[in-house]
Amino acid sequence: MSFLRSAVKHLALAGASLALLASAASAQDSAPREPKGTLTIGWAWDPGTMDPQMHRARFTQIISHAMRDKLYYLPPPGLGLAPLVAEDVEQVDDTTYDLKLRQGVKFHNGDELTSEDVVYTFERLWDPATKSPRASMGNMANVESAEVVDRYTVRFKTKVPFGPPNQAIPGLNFAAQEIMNKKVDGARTLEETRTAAPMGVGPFKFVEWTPNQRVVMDAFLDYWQGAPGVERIIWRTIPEEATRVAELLSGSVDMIYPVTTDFVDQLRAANMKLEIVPGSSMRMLQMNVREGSPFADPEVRRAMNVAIDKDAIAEHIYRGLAVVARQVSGIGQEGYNPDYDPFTYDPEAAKAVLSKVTKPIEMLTVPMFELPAQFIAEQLRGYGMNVSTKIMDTAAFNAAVEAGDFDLALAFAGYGTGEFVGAYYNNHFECSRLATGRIRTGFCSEDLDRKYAELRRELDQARWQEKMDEINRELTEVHMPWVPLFIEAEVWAMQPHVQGFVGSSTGQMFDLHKVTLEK
Amino acid sequence: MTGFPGGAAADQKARFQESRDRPPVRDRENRELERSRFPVKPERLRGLEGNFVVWRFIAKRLLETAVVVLGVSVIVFVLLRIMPGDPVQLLFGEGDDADLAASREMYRQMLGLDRPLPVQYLIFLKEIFTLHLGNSLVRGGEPVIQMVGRALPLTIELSIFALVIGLLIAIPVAVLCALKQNTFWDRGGTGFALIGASMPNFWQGILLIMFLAVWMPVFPVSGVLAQHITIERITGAPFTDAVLTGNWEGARSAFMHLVLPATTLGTTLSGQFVRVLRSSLLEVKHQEFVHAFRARGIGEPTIVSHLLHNALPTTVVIIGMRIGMLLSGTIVIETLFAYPGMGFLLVQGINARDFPVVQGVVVLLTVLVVLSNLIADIIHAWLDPRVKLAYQKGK
Repeated sequence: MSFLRSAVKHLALAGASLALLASAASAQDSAPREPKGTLTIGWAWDPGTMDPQMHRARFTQIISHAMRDKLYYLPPPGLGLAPLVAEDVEQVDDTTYDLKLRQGVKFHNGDELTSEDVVYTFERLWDPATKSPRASMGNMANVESAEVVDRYTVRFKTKVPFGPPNQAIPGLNFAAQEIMNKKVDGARTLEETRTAAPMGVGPFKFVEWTPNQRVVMDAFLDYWQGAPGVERIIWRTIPEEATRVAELLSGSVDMIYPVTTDFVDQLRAANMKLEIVPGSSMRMLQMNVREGSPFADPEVRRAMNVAIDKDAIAEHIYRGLAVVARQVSGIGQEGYNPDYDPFTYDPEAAKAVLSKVTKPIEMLTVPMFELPAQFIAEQLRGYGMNVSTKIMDTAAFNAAVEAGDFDLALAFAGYGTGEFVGAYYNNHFECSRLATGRIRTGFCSEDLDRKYAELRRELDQARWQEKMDEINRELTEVHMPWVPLFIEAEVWAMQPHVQGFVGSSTGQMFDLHKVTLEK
Repeated sequence: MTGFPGGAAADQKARFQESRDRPPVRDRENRELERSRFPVKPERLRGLEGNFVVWRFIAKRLLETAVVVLGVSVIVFVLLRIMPGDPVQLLFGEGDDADLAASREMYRQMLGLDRPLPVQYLIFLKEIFTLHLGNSLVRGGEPVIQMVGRALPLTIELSIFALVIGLLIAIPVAVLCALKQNTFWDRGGTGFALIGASMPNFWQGILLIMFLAVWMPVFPVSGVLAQHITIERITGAPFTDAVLTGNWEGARSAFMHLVLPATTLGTTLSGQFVRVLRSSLLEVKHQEFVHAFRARGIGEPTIVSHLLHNALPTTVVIIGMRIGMLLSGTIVIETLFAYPGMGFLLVQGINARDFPVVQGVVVLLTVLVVLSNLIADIIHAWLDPRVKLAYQKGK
């Protein structure tokens, strides 16, 4: 467990200050080397498409990112942004940003990356004819245009002020979109781009894709950060975890992902290496604060916040592969304060209030949280509450909680971009989203929205931090629409000869060019 | 009074004469049937008539298939729509869009999911009858027909292997059980059948993986082919294609990858086959012709072959029904062994609420199940002349 705690500390520090001003850590490792061996990765998915703009899936992006670099990315293990093929961003005025590209970055066909390619990438993304589900990610709906200034400079214009570069970059979606090749991709139809060899500036070149079986890619020797450590990567689609584990134990794959707690002991016993980092998805109890629900009363919500033995869940159900969450902002996320520990487990105080809640309560959740849900329900029953659990598949669960027709739900909220200001606040707490069914709990506060608007306008970093802290505290301790529970770890298992892999909190597999096989 | 005795005798004689000249009853009935069906001379059509009846039977069943497909299309379409959760919601998840609801709505419109349900259903129907089956909502718009084209040959090959393994196990066990009825061998065989039919094949698959792929690595754990092998595509079924192209390394690899999933499926099937075949064999075993064979001193292997020939028709019908189940019921095994056939596709589609994929796969599987039952019926008729006669009489 200590490894997870040290990872948490590391992430908290990384999250406290964005790595924007730092140079790309990965760029420093450029000693010439010769790629060796084949890295076989057994994972649960098939990318579905080779088009980097026609998906919303993390696993598709993992494949895409291995072959196409982005402007910015989140260096593992943390959630802070760092430049990749971008060098710098300058704010020209309130709504204009000039982005400088690295020079000498090569595509797999030898073309040099220029501002034309970056502009093409974003224009293709926004083109309604593309029908990209990524077109409106982040704050993209408020981006006006991307224009070529010179060979290595792109100008982005926004409809509204996005603030200083460190706040603007996540909204501009620089870290979410892989750069395409204007000459090659521009000549392809949508259908061709779906299946054709991706042409990027990433560390690996496309070789073959057999849908639902394997994706094969070879080292790109002219990669701008130096040749990758392995000659070839083969991604094998193995949806069943027991089979993935068997493949690793039999030695036919080098690495597997994802790994759940069920198999961790078995893998440790077989001397497999585990890479464990806290994930980027908050698991919480969402309480319906609407009229008629027992949780409309803030005192009941406060009692709920001291009622659950979260340490026991992390320790016994997740066997140490989860970190307890006590604030609305997740570990490593913007606004997370490692010194803030608001609620302490207090069953006596909880019982005094919760024993008066007589209404039968159905706690909704999804199959992956069945065990913690049953643990929590049992604990709440111990206080005299009449709580039962209802396990639903994800689609049905989402539909039920978004309709607001529930009292209690063991739910989850991701923060893979590391942002709090933006999608995370907007989609869970902002009053304007009540009408669209986004605020599941029914909670919102106009006073908090006003503070949030001030925060967005704040340019001074110290004051920004104060305001962010205040919002985090008010949500956690004053309004309490959630009981933050825990954050599960992202776990990779690998053969001992796999070196240099660092897992990302976002569940991504970045910096694969640094992996080597020491057989 | 009908007349004097002499007259009665003559009448009786005449009737006897008439009955001698008259063709046998069955033949006569057939001729009457022929006359009613064909205005031309029935003798000229006698050779064709059997074929005509079979074709008429097939045409009728195909028409029924169309009705079944139409019914299934309505059911699957409606069920998918009334199930909670929609594909766009799952696709976007707890996404990073500043206005997630607006993004979802925009994408729903782009996919046409905002159109009235009858319109969506008519589009679906058109796609079925043009054999297009629509585009996946989550795999970057991949045509479903392409996905099915990849998955179906894999499932068919796996099913055939499973069927062969099932029969290779079932026939000797059933024969042994029937010949040694009520002995240790019989009880052992029926016990095996019971275990085979009732053991969860997921668990059985995991056991096979652990024993034969991890602890004693004889076979690969999962997948379709070794990762360094590529096979030229002809049918899409890897073992068949490897054999057709003379790629023996590929054929060996495909075969080794098929063994564990096919054995898992095959043992389950064999359990069911043993029970049916054993009882059919027992029925035949006590018939007089078997005693006659034995009385003439005919050897046991010949008797067993006659027993099987007479017991097989019932088993063929069961096999036909099982083929349908095999094609659609390999969901768990295909997922466990990372074998991307139809079941694998269906699970992917259901989890992502990928409507066109689920609709397309279900409709196609329906057609295949009905067709496999039809083929089983035809083979049944071919094996058992009594059934053929029943068709010919229009029963």
